[in-house]
Amino acid sequence: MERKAGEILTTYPEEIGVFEVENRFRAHLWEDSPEAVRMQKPENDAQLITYMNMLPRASREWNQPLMRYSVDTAPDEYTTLESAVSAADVYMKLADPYLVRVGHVIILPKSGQQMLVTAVDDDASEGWTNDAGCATCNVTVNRTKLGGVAVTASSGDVVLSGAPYMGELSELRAGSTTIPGDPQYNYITMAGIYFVISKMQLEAAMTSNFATLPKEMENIKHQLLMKVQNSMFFAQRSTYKDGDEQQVYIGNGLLHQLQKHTLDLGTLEHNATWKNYNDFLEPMFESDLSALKKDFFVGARLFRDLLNTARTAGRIELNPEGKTTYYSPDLGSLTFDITTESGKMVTVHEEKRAFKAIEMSDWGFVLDRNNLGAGQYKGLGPQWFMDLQTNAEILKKKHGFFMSWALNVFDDDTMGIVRGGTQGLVNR
Amino acid sequence: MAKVNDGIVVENNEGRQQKETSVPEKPKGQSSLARFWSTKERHQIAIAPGENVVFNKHVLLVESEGKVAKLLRQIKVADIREVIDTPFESEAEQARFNKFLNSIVYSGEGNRPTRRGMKMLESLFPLDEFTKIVDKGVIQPDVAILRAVKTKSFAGGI
Repeated sequence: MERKAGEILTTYPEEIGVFEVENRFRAHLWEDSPEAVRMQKPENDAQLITYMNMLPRASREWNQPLMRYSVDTAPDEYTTLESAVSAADVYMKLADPYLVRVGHVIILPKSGQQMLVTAVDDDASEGWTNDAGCATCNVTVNRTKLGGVAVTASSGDVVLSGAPYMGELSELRAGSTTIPGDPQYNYITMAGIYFVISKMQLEAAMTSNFATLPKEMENIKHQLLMKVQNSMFFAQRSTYKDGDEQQVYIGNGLLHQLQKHTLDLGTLEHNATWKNYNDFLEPMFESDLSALKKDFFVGARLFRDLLNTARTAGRIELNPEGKTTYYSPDLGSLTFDITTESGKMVTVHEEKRAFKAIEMSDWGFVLDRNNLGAGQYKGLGPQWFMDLQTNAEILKKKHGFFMSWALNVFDDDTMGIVRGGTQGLVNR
Repeated sequence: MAKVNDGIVVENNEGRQQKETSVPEKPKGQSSLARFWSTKERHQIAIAPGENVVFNKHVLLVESEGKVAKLLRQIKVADIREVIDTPFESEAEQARFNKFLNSIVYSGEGNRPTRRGMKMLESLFPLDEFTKIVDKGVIQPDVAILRAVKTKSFAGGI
């Protein structure tokens, strides 16, 4: 609006133009405010935390900072020979002598032999030796009672445990059992952050959501979830005592719990072929405890390259709409499904945020929902603590977001980690 | 599984060796074997399109001058070390090695030794060497650690 000359302030309405540059009464218009643009991103940044809450063993509440657990499996009714056996030997060494007791039957299927166990020395302290050079045998057998051939056997041959046969007046044979595997433990971790905002700012009129209470609460919560997600992937178990803060517990993340399967693809992308991936994925399904389907959280580059590789190899499962990738509403991720050569399914989720750094974008974690346990300290799940300002801080508002968590791996034979393989030529 | 070649010998700790090729422990007229050790039990390294080498129980034995050994030395994966049958020269390195081995063995609750840690320690040794450490069927973790410090080291230091 152009002010007329002199002191007369009257003007004609038609002279008030919308295109006038200097008009202090006209509102600023945002096509979309910056924070709104950011919030438009449909993907869930905290996929691992969402996944954690979807686990069959989720929502556990503990009331101690330390959790112990162990994995038990059904016993295998087979073992192997740890040393060779001659045709005349009655002493032999089994990799697992606890499989048989006196009166049990050993079957060597490769050579069609069967033997009756007459004594077992579990700790090989008797010094039993055999003709084939074994000085620490742990089983003696009768090779004639059950008939059949008596020939040589090699170290590594499979030994089956047969039925413990009984006669008319026999007594029951002793059985054995299993003890759970390695005792494992993990800690519950606690973490939280706060923000302070002035009461004047809270009352300030803003043209967008910027610097308002809802926006800052959203920011703080997002920030903590991202930090916690990083720790869930990469933290190493530890505990220390601080003079002021007392004992601090840090639980193990996935990286330090998954100690069995790791695939390093290096920096040469051509090594990331379907066969490389398939040979890595298949053994993770071998455990009795494995789920039929795995979830594979990957960085953007690994997502892209695995999609291309699997598509070229014809290992992609099409969704009902005939597409390869789809939006997974449960996790909030871009997803596709692949099947291994043996028909096992792996659902690949693009986890952009946790693996956002270029050097991390070719990382991936294969997870098995049947073998993960998750939870929090009782009463200390994700929550806001409001109005934390002191009495003297009359012009401030202080709010904090806090959570406790633990993510425990049970059978780590069912999960693994992929690193590398998709770096571009210039990044080698 | 991917075909494993280039003279890779898969050794396990149950008193036998499964050789995926016919390369003997000390082949005549050929270089000796290099022992690569990983903190991961079944570490896989993609060495070519469609071809992974697989560590068996933390160990991969390959020909010392073969292409796999050269590749592993070149790519320098943090979890993988080449085990050498001589101790570290300096006491400082031996002390660090001792601390490292203690940290993997005594990783149980209350700093107790774990089976997993013992398996990792055991895999530093060839079978015949480790058998000598076993006393009446029992392995003393401290004795095994001491033996490792006295006889083993990592190429490239610790």
